[in-house]
Amino acid sequence: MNKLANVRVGFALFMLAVFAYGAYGVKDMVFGARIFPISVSAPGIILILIQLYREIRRSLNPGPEGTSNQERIIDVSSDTTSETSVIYSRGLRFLYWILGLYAGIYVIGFKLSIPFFFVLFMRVEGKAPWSVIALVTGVSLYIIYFHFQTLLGVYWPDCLLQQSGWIPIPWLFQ
Amino acid sequence: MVEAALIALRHMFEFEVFSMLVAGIAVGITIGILPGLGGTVGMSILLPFVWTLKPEAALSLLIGMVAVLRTSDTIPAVLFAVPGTAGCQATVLDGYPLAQKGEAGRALGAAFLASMIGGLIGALFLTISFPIARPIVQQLTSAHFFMLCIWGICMVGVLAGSQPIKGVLTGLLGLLMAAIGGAPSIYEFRYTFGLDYLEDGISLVIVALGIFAIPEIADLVIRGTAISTIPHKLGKGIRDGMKDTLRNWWLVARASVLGTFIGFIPGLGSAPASWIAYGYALQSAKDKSQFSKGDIRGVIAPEAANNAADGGAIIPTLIFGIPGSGTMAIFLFALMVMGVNPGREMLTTQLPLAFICVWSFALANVIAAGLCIFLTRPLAALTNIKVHYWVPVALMVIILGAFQTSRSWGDLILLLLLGLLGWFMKRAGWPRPPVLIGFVLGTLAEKYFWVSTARYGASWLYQPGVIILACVIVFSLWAGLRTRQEKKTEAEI
Repeated sequence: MNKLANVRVGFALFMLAVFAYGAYGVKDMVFGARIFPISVSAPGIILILIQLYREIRRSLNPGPEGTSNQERIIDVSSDTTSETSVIYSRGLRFLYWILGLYAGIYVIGFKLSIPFFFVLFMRVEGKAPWSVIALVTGVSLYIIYFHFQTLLGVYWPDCLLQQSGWIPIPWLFQ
Repeated sequence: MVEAALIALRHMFEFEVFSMLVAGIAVGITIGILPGLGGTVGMSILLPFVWTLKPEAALSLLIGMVAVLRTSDTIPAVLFAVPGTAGCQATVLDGYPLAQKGEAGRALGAAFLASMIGGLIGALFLTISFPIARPIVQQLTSAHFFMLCIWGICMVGVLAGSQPIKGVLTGLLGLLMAAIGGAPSIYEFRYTFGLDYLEDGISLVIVALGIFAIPEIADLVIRGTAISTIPHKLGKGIRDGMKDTLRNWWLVARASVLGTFIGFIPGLGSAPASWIAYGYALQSAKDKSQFSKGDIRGVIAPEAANNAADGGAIIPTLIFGIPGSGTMAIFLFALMVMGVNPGREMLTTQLPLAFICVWSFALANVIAAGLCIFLTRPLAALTNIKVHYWVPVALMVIILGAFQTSRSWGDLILLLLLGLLGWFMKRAGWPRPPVLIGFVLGTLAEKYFWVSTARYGASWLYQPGVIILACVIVFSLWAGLRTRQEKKTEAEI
């Protein structure tokens, strides 16, 4: 079984678990609350079992790594030309960047962590020159303050630094 | 009807409404040029911000974005053979060979004018559909709307590619996600895992941003380069291309009408419309020798059809509340958030809003064609920008947009989890648009089901309209599966 086949079988099993829970999670509820989820989960379980059988059968007769066996879906297709391990390692790296940004937002706030994220991401991942970093960060901060905050009046997530009051945050970043 | 159209036109030139239309056009042109980011991503990014706008401005923003995607997506398709969206894949066949011959300007000029005319014809059909549909919609009951929801889900599932089971399953996943939270009319909370955050259900904004936007951004980062590393050569001849379109006006008209009808059918949309129009141009041409080697008709027909298809796709969404694509599912949700109910209300009390959609669609097509003609060179340069330079900006907007939903950290955590789900769906080859359609229609379907049962008991199942719609659903499923089987057999032969 190649890695892509593993992903397909794994995803089908995940879907099976979702539909099984879809039926199980409402079993003790009144009829009115459970009829709709059961009506959705029951055909879901039947169809996913058929699909799982097809995925397993297909994984036992695999094409070359990364090929899709002439499958066509109406959606944006993924990159199937790169090595699967490269795709996953880069994907994981991007996930760490998002988690890092979340941590920054949680601790020091959205408006303060965004410029840090821009500088670090563009410098480390994109090897961007400082002039480009300054331009993109500057334009983004302008959008944050004058479009999102002033015109659209958006809300910002609370942060630990602001709640604790340990360090006074400059008014611009509050 | 005329009065409503004039009221809508007056609204269009209010500062807030017109500036939002221009903003939507700017976003649509940018998203169209950047492959991987389609209408669904654009719509999901804009959605959180429409809540602060009045309905006229919000509709202009969303329609302005949708209307122009198929105009600007031609630029990378012609210059680099990379279609900006799935709707212009057919354009590559003749557009890129023309660019290789040094006639990229001619191909783009022809495409922009054909897109504009296609869009205007789509808007015209949208207008014509209102008086035709009004008496029909006024006769429909909640039971009919329930059956229409089921039809929408089945069609999108079956037409979701070469794997109809996967299409139906992801549609069902969307329905199940719609069931999270409070059940309608009954005090029961489903699938909340004891979390207060889930008691109100999950928002379509988070679902759309998570399942569509995050995986696309992730894939662009994983690929790691600019969309094109080839310097673009535009050449001259934009005016010649526009003359070519006017010379082939009959082909433009036929492709546009074809595109509108294909766009009207849930589950099809602009990609099949452009391929079918291309095939039609090929079949109807006397001299077929230059097709796929750089025949301008191979650019004109799909470009007219794909813009017209977007106009056609708005018709079932506005009139029956049946979205034909992920993009239209988000649009439908936006309408409901604004307190506008599609269907009867849209064609009676809210008719000026329906005309706002028409005017926005028509004006956006005209403005976008003009902008693309004058700004082709700088717009093409966008594809040479490294993804790492604009991904942080996109990520910032997505996170901020997601947080506006309920202003809770739950939004951001759910965004990440759904992003992972969407990315694995992409990797495993599962279509994502049916999830959105199932999610939007799930809420409506359950509501219509309860209203029908409360009002008619089980007798609604025997209503003539319900039986006719059931027959339409069965026939559509049979026809969809049969067409697929025939194509498979042809491919095997």
